[in-house]
Amino acid sequence: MTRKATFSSALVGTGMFFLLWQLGAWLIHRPILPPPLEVLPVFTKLMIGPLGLHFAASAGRVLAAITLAVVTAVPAGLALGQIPLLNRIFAPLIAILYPIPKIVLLPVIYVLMGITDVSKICLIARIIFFQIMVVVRDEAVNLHPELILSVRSLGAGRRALFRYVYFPASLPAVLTALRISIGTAIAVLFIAEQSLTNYGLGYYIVVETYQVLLYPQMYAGILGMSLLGVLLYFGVYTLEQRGNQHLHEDGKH
Amino acid sequence: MMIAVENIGFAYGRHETVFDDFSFSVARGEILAVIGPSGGGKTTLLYLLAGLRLPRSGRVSINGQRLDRPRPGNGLVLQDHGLLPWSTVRDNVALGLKIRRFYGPDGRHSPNDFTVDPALADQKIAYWLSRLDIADLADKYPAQLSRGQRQRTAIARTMTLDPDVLLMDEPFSALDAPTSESLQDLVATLARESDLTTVIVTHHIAEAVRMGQRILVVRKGVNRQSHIVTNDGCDDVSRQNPAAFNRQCKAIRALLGKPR
Repeated sequence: MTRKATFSSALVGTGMFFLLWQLGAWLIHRPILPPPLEVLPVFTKLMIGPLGLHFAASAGRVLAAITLAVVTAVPAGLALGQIPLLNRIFAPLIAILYPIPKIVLLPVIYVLMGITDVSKICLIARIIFFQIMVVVRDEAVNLHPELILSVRSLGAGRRALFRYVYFPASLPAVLTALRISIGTAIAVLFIAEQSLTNYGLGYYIVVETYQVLLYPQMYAGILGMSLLGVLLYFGVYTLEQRGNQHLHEDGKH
Repeated sequence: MMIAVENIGFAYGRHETVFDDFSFSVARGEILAVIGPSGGGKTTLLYLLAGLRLPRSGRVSINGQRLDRPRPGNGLVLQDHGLLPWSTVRDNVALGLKIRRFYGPDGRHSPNDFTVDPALADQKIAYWLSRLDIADLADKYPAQLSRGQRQRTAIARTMTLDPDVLLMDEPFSALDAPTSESLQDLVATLARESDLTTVIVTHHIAEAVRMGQRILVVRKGVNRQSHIVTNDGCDDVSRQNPAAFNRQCKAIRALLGKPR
């Protein structure tokens, strides 16, 4: 898809979303589902004020978690992919740990790491970590040995191999894994923010608005969280498209 | 002697010995063809010469220096998969120079006298792109190229590093006949021009006879003695004297132990 097509399809999607919302509001006609035209002005106003702060807190946590996950998962995945013995030892453990919902560890993490932002960030990072580690491992396993040998013969040692082969080879997979895990990451963020913090969209939606029945404000919070998800998703998607250029030029001889 | 292999032993695992007390040498500027069946250790031999594998005993030296790691003056061209699929032809050809710039002139990853000069590098890349006749493909990706064009890209990438030894693993075997012949001529010309000591591994008898000034025959199982066939005036035999060409092919076939 070209950038223009992506943009216009995002626009159409947004339009349909608001249309359905409006229809739902008409049909249900209760305070729990206010129409978009009532929520949007609230959203705009609050984004410049307190909601903006909550948004920034949540965005900061997700971005920190993504960074933490990427810088730990990529080397771990590369090591597993390039050292068969290591992979043989750890593959069963990873297979067992992979499907466990990491969110259940929330209380454990709080007890072990304390009730801080760091523990929330670690929890989210764990979710993305496994996704990325597994794809990077598979990517590294599938690199042709001939490619590694050729580049080594050009003088590349470990550092140059990482810079010129492993990193660019796994980047597209890292981005795909990231894009796919963003939804889960934000869901976990939402749960982690519901308690034991005073900032974040999860806290805003549940504690500051839902529990005191401020429905339009609650929807402004939900919109904020959706916006966070959409921005991250399309941000990663854009990077992905840029990195995958060689896959899109096939046949143009 | 540019390449000297002295009494090397090499085995995969504990039992699968490929070379035992094996020796041969290649003179400066000579083209040596290595021929043998698959599984005969040809590629292993090439990796030993490239410093990508180390012998268990004996020594490999190039230009008088014992080889214990890849050497900056060695150029290696493999059959396929050697190019970065996500980089254009130009970026692939530039890769070796980029790696040298990454390390600087440290004598291990790049020669001691390597100077970092981006303008000179660009000039070199442009020269080898046009010398290998791939300048108009510079912005294509490897998947968009024919095998012959990919092989030209790999050769250009190696040549930008000014090697004195060129090691090639089945460089022409997956190509159609005209492409393979034009590339063989090109490699022979480049080797002569740049005084390259060249080792070409092949499983194709005619190719070995056409390219190799001498031909080393390796066999399945343990290689102890090196069987070398001299192939004087290899270029003439193929073109002007079909009888001599056939005689050479027959001699090699006999050494390989294949039925006619």
